[in-house]
Amino acid sequence: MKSIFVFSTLISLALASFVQVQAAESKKPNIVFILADDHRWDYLSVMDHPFIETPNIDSIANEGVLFENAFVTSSLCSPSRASFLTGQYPQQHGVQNNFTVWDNKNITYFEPLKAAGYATAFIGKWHMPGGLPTLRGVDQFISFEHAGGQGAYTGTPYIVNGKALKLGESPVEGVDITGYITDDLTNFSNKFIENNQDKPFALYISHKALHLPMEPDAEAAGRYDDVNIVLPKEADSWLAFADGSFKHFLWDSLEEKMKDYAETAIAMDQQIGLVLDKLETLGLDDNTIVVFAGDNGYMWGEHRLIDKRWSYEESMRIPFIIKYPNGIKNPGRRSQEMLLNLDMAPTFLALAGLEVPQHMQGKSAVAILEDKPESLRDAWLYKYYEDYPYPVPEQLALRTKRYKLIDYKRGKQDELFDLKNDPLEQNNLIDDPKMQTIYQQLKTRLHEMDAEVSQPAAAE
Amino acid sequence: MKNILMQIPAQWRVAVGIIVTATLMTIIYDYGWQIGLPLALRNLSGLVLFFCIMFGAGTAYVCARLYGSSYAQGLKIGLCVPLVWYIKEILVAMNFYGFAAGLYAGLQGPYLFYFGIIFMLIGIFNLIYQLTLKLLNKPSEKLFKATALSLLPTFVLGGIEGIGLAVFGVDVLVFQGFLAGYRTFIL
Repeated sequence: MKSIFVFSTLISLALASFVQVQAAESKKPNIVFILADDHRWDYLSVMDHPFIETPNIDSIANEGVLFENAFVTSSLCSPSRASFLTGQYPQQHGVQNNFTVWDNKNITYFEPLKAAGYATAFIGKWHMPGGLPTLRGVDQFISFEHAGGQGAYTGTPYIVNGKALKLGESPVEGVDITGYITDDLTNFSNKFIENNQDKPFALYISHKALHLPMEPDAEAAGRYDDVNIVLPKEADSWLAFADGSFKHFLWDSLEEKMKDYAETAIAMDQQIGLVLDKLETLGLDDNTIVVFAGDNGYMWGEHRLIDKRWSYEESMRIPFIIKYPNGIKNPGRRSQEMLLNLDMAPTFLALAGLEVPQHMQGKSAVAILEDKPESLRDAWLYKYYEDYPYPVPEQLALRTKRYKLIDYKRGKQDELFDLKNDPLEQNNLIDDPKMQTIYQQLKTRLHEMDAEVSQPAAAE
Repeated sequence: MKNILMQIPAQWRVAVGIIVTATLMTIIYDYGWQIGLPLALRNLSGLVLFFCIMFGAGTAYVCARLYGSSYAQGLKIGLCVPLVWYIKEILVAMNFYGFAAGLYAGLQGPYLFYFGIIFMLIGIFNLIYQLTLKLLNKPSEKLFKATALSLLPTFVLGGIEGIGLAVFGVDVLVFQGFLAGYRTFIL
């Protein structure tokens, strides 16, 4: 009798451990990455913006970690997007401006996830030179080539896994086209989540919003008509028409365009809320990593500039928030660590329990999410490649926690800023005799990092 | 001051005045914030600058005609105003991209359309000028030819861009075609 009891106990234990292993397998975290276009880091109510209301993005921050010092290593849509996907600097993945095409040999974070059993989808704006790629490791690739890959807020025909659809034709069975791109991309995404709720999935939602022409939906349009916009002291209302900026075709005063931008953001925030609701309804929210980020910043008159591209804070700084109830210690935190766009891919893979491939140059931020006293980096390299004909010089920059050195290829004097005492980067210290030692140190480090990041072996 | 003005031929005085005004407005507009000029004043300087760039040519043309210039000379004087702005834009591009690419930047669609609009505005100003002469029973010129000529550049440019988009799905002048040229000849 005793031996039967021992035997049955052993069998039960073995079964229990088998079930636990199976459960652990099925508990691989889901990944939902939401990328906004041209979304400034401070256009969120959680960042104390004076008027914008983004309750849904705020909720990601309140239940996750908000990185207050998140940056892109090149402030332009295409290079930045390629860095998010590959975990590499533009010097390695090759998408450097609007001329250099995406190399289909590039390995994205989708490939190891797919190999590990994930269902994968890329839904939304691709917009890299060379048209839509053969994106390995992605089951469902819904995008568009309309308007040179930019898409339009209304009237965008979709392309699903390489098949071009007619305008109004839906790429997803059972999902009707609403006509407003942010809503459509959300509906496709929610259907993907619904269809893959029983297995781990990795979803990349790439919004057109808030890119020009910054068109909100009917519900959000006019919400901020009565808001009094305060411009940066160096800006004025007609800046979008001045000094080559007219090539961005804003066609309005800066104040009015800023309102459009904010309204487009709240229209997107509302849709992000629907994705979060879907995860909650399906009971997936605790085991899903949700990341909200921007592909670059946007200058609204700072330094008398609009658009991105430049090495100034408003251009290179992005919103970056990670929520993962099952994996974040002390949620609702803010981290001051300098996180880069190319850190996202290795972070996802590390959170999924996968090995981070050597070619990825970014660093996993898992330690930060676990609230360990570790530092990601003390300096990093920024590079903007010439993107003709926009009147912005090629530039290389070193950003440390305290200083920023900008080395312009031509057409502008190099700049050195003390970000602690001059966060708005108004006083160029490059010729200050007291700063020469620091300048030389930064310059040496800048060129060392440039060589290190650019050499062919850097990503092997 | 009066002596300096008297040295400028009468037909050129308004054109020069507009160029000087535009230069002053540029300085106020670009640098006024550094000396704490209020936003309203800087916005006003921006508006005046915009009017100089857009309507300076038509105004200078009519004034040159009033002081006895022929149609061709009036056109030459009028076009000096937008030309100064255009050269400034090319110099900015050269500063960042070098000589050849900077020069080629001047051929981008927005600049071509700008000159198309300038010709059109000169045509409208000429029309108003000639109609005024007619109303005052003063000797005037035939209206149709000069007005039609002034519309021609915009029609040609619009036609190229429109046909490119409608028939081939290619934007010839603004970005796609322009950048194809850049890739082929400059890059």
